[in-house]
Amino acid sequence: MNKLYRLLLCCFFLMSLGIAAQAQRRALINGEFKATSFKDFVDAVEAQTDYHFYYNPKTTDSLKVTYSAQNQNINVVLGQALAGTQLHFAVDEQGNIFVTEGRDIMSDLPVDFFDTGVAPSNNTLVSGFDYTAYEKREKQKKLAESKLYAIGPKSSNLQGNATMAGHVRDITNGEPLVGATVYIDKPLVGVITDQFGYYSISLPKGRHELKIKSIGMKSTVRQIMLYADGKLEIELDQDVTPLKEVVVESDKDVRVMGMQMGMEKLDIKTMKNMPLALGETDIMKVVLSLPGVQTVGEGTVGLNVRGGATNQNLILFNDAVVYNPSHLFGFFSTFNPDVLKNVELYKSGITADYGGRLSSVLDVTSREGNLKKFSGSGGISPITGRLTLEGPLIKEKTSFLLGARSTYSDWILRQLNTERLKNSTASFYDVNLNISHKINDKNNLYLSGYISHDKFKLNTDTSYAYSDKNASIKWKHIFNNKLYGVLTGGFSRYGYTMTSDLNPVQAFDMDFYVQQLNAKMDFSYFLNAKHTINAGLSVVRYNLAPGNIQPKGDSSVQKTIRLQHEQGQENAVYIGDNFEVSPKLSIYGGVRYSFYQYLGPRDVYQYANGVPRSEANITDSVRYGGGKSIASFSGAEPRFSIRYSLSQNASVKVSYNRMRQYIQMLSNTTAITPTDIWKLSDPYIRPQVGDQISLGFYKNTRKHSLEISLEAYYKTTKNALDFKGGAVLLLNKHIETDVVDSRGKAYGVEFMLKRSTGKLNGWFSYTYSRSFLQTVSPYAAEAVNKGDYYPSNYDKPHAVNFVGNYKFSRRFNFSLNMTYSTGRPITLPLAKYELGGSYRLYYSDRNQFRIPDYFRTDISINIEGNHKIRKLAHSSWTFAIYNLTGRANAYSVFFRSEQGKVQGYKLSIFAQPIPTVTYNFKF
Amino acid sequence: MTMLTRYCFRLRSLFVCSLVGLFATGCLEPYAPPAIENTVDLFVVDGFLNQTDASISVRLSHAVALDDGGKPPVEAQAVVQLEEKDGNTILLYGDGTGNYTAAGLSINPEHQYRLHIRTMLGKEYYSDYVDVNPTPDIDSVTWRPSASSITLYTNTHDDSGKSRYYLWRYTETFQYRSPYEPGYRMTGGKPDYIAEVDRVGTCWTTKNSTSILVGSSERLSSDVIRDFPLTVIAAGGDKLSVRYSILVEQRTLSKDAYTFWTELQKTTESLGGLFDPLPSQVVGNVHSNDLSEPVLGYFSAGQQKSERLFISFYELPDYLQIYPRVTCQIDSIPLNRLQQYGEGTYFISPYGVPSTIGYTISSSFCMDCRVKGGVTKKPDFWK
Repeated sequence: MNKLYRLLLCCFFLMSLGIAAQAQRRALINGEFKATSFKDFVDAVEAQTDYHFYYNPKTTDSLKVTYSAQNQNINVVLGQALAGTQLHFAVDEQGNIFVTEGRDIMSDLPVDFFDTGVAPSNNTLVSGFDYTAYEKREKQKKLAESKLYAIGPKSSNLQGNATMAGHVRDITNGEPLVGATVYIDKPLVGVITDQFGYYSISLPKGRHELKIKSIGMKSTVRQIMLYADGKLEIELDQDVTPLKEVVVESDKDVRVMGMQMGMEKLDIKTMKNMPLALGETDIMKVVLSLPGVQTVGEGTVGLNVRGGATNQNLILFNDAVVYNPSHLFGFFSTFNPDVLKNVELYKSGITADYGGRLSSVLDVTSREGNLKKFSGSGGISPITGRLTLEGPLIKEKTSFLLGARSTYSDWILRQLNTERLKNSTASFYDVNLNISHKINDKNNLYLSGYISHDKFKLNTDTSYAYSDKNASIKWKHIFNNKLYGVLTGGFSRYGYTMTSDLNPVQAFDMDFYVQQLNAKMDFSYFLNAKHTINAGLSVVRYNLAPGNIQPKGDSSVQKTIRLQHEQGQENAVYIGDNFEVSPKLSIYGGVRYSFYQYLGPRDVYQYANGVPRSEANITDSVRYGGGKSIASFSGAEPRFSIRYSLSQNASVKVSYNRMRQYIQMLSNTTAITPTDIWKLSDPYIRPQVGDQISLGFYKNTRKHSLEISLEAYYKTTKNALDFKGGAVLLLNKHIETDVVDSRGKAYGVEFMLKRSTGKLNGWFSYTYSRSFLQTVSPYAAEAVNKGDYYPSNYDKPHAVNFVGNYKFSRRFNFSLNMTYSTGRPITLPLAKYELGGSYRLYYSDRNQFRIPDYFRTDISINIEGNHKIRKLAHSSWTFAIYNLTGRANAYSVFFRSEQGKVQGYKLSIFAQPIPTVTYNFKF
Repeated sequence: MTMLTRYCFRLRSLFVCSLVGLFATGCLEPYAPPAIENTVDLFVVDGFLNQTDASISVRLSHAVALDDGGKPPVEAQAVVQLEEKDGNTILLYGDGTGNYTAAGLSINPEHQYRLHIRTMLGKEYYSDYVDVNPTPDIDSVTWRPSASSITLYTNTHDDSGKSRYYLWRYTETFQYRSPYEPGYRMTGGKPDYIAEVDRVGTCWTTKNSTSILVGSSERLSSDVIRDFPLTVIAAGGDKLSVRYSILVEQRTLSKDAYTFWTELQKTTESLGGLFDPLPSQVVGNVHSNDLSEPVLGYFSAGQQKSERLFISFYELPDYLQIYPRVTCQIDSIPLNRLQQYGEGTYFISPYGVPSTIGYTISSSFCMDCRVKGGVTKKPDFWK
């Protein structure tokens, strides 16, 4: 008892000491107040001292202060002045005074948080309460929401518009929020934050209530008084109970009101709720559940977007190109879910700042490290383990994020009894590192590095390894509120090696790589409320080693073959303008001009005219020196879209875009293989050109809770590559003799119904789409299917997807995922005949038949740990069953002659329900 | 770590399904294609001009629908000619079963040859002119044991470096025995001792290769084929139960012929893996006068070298010396019931000492080796 008493006493002493120390640093107050309004009282005190008041004018407007003060302490003065009211006050170390209604507050709150650069106080002596961090933030939010922010120097001229700009960030870790909506209701003016969380909005001068919404974050408002151009930094708090209200408030408006069409954005929270095979959130698989995205078979990683080939997707990871986003033959994507922020897929209406691929842009963005504290997360699934660490390097300025993931599948393979698999190995890992640094208010620097590596050997003598590496550096400079620029430098390299040593005479090492260096400058200029202009230029330098093979070991007689390296340079400039003609009508118009050169040094074969290109028709070989242009191609790529609002909840949009592609993948297999090679456009292989026109109707109903969209598109492709029967693609010195030119057309309608709020949310989509190819060759012998249009490998007319989440409680979440699609086209044998001692097959024209339809159901249950904010680690469990009905979906159908007989087979990959358990943690 | 052990069971089923489905044949099911109406009549030409024994053989047939159970029909009444470029024309003799041959030819290896075919319906077909390819000798045919089987390999080389592309065919002959060789046969109402020449306990079966075996040293600095795998034979079967022999025939191919056979092999023998190429129509070097009519098959010319290898049961490593497992029941037939058995029935041996009281018998599968398809006549080359 005695001890406790002493402790209390001690505390009391310290507290009074603290207050005393404070008071000494502040001037004492003198003054006669007689029924003075609170505002005048505040002005008087602020004039005498360097105290600064924060209060809500609404709660104090009826208050009159009557008090006479002579050299009195602020605490005494305020205590008297506010006596008998519901108002409380608190004074902090910096001389800020907070006047609040109802409950008392802690004066050490970092309210001056918004005045960047001032570190929040850690003095808790004044506090009589034990506030959790969450409650603190709630208080801050309320305070910030009621405060009136003056933007620009005060002036009485409130004519015309002014521009305010700033960043929207996550309050817990300082990460920028992409795609947050910043808007006012009257008149309805709104903008969306860009990839840096940056916004710039032009508003009529005067007082506004600025609303801010973002996915998974608490919506907030700011009272602003806009005098002139100025800055406002906004921080949003995470929705701590995302299970209750997962979604996407901002996107609701975007779909109808935004300019962009044919775009799907998924944040990592939505993706983590979906049930998936092998217990790992996989963005490539999630993207496949969106309308208009197809694949040739499960377990393959290639995406076919709106009837485009798998190599026609620009896959960007933090602005660096990813050539092979798959691990383990496509069972996993190389993107570690723990480091991801969101994924945007553009299927149409692609703006002028993107270029280089025909079909789509898949823009994958990783998070930035936590600016405020160290934290980590990780997980264990049946196949992989992963760990992510992040935190500040310099508090509030520099942060890092390091994520690593690896598999223990080698260990699993060794446990298997099958002799076939026991000798097989398969392993992979990937590592991500992001560093972001805030140099000052106007300059930010972002560094991103990424490595993925795969190695496998399948009971054969050949082992394979492939690796994707990339790095990017971005410097963002804000010139002023209206103009900012980003300078990006990037490096990407994809390569593989094959090693065979079973037969010492033929033992070899083979390798391939494609590498690109790119630099680009992008500018965004917010001209006025009606125009936002984007412009920039980019340079990409390609270097490919199409294949080297060399003997391995002394007894090998393998010939050393080094295919000539390929060089190319792709330059582009672009400009685009978002023009809001009226609140109802918006137009985007842009153009990109790309110029490509295929460069020496290189020996180029010449072929006889008038006959098909073949080895026998090579007439000459011409030598081009280093840096000499061998062939060049250029062209304009116009892009435009129009949005017209039919009402506040409905709009129609039209868009057109042309894309040009100067690098293509050579593959004559159904699925992408790790050993597919890439090829630059050259004198014989012309760049691919694609045009797409699309039309969409969008409607939100029931207070935006249900979104309906209907999009139709028509697309054509020129100079797509097809291959002659039996083409040899690897180590081919004259690949042009094995390819034929073809053109493609695709069209379709996508219907989507999406509910993003409420206990039950998710989407349903139906797609009707067709995709055709046609050989363009003057020689009948080269024409596939006699030169007629034929269905492409990924032509699947009907596709239905259902993705649903139901939240039983904040801790239990149930997800159901159903997928149906028409079987993909295949080529079937028509007849059999005897040759060489066995039956052989005569195949039909290409892709005239289909494999059986595809149908799959998956379920998963997420169980979150308890929701106590403060504990060592937060954990969650995911139980999932992939292919619940165990339907043996055909991956492929094929025929073989075995023992002189023809046998037909159907191969399925996941022919039975696959249960998985994943444990995730966060600290 | 507890995590791992706890879910180990799940891991296993998961991996077996996914990986086996991928790389093995675990998740394969038989598949019958939809009924396809095929109205195209496809003519098939399979021809080889053999310089080594100065002969030519051509087989003409037609393709049949996939689900047709019968043999493909042959083209028996055609006129087939071998044409030497700027030279003679030789008429081939048709045997009425689709085979056309000629022997004792004088083939000039410096010249080019082609086939000219006229069918009974008056359709005409020509092959391209082909070179007569010299073929190096087979260096050796070897075999090596593995865990439960043996693999046979062939080796060759060409110092001139001109051959490069090779095709192999082989003929396997193996000797095997029935589990219970019968000593007696019902002759004239009673079991009679079988003379040596009529014994049915030991047979020889001969089979031709069915796969397309092509190889190339294109990417090697010297024209060497080392350890090209021909076939894998599982231990414990009839093939290796007594003595096995393989006759390997080797031909050099032109690059075009090599491409043809490689494509044919890819489209009919190794399709269906995740990373296998798409099937395509494989066009040979025989053409119809009607350009729109596809013709299947190939004609080539050259030397053919051969090599024979014997492997007997006792040469196998001990762990592979496994006798075929069959369950055969032996019945005893008393003399008074022998009349139930017809003429020609085999019996193993008499029983009863000192006087015979009956004969032992088993199923004909267990006594007569010919039931499995072999013949009792020892091949001439069998030493």
